[in-house]
Amino acid sequence: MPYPRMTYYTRLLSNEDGRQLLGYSSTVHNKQLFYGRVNGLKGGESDYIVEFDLWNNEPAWDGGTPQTIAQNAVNCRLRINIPPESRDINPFFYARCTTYDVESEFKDVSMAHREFKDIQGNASDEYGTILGVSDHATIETKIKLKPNSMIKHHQYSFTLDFLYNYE
Amino acid sequence: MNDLIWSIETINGTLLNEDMAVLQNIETERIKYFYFQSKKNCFGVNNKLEFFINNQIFDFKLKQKILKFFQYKEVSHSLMFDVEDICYNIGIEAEDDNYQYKYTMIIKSETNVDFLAQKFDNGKEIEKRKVKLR
Repeated sequence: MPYPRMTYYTRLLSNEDGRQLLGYSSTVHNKQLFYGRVNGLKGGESDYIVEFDLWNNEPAWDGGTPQTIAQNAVNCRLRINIPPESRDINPFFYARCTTYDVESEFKDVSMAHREFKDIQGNASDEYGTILGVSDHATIETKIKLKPNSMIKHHQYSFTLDFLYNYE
Repeated sequence: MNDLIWSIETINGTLLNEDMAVLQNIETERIKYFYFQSKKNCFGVNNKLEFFINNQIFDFKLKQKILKFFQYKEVSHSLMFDVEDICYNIGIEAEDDNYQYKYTMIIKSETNVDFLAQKFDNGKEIEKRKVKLR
């Protein structure tokens, strides 16, 4: 069976009311994640939520030919990498999977627990799995700073990896 | 790292690989060598619970009963740089009278290979040890 055919998209939502501000764009083209401003003195949340839409074998893949089945992507997780200069303000990164529950709680992803594992596709009944039958999972991410966060050079820095296993 | 594919040599000398067989359909007792193969190297485990890289044997004096051979690939996709890295994992699940064990060779690149030993009590991990093989 073919390997998982993962494709990755992002879009920008308002953290005020959840409205879409910028539509879906492939991470192939959109390599900058922009969360907007956060008040590090008073504490608070980022202007924007960055939403990831993670597909396995998305319908467009076959370009109109009959849909095929790819392997499931299992043990899916989002991992944060924080450089030393930004570690003193963590946790600052929060994520939630809204595939099933759009009101689910944001959880912190930090150096103490670097992986966000509450990921599930909307066609999957298996925890951590995005099925190879045009399944997808949606993850929302935002920045949240505590009051008096000491941000060097007025910035926080990190990178994000999406990890999965297959046979 | 280039795509590695797994291969199996059975006890009667038949060679099978990822393109022609499904691992779950091969009985554990039939497997003599199970390994990933690149252009330069073979990384794997045999039915005596010895791990190997080419002719170099890593004998950890394992004595348990083999339950099954397993392999999986772990993909790490950078969402910001759109680059992908694949890590190849191959190993065995085993048991003795008291505990279950999982031994994994983790092949990150041709020159970066780890060995992970895990001990489980009723499915819960109770001990873990990682050794660098290369």
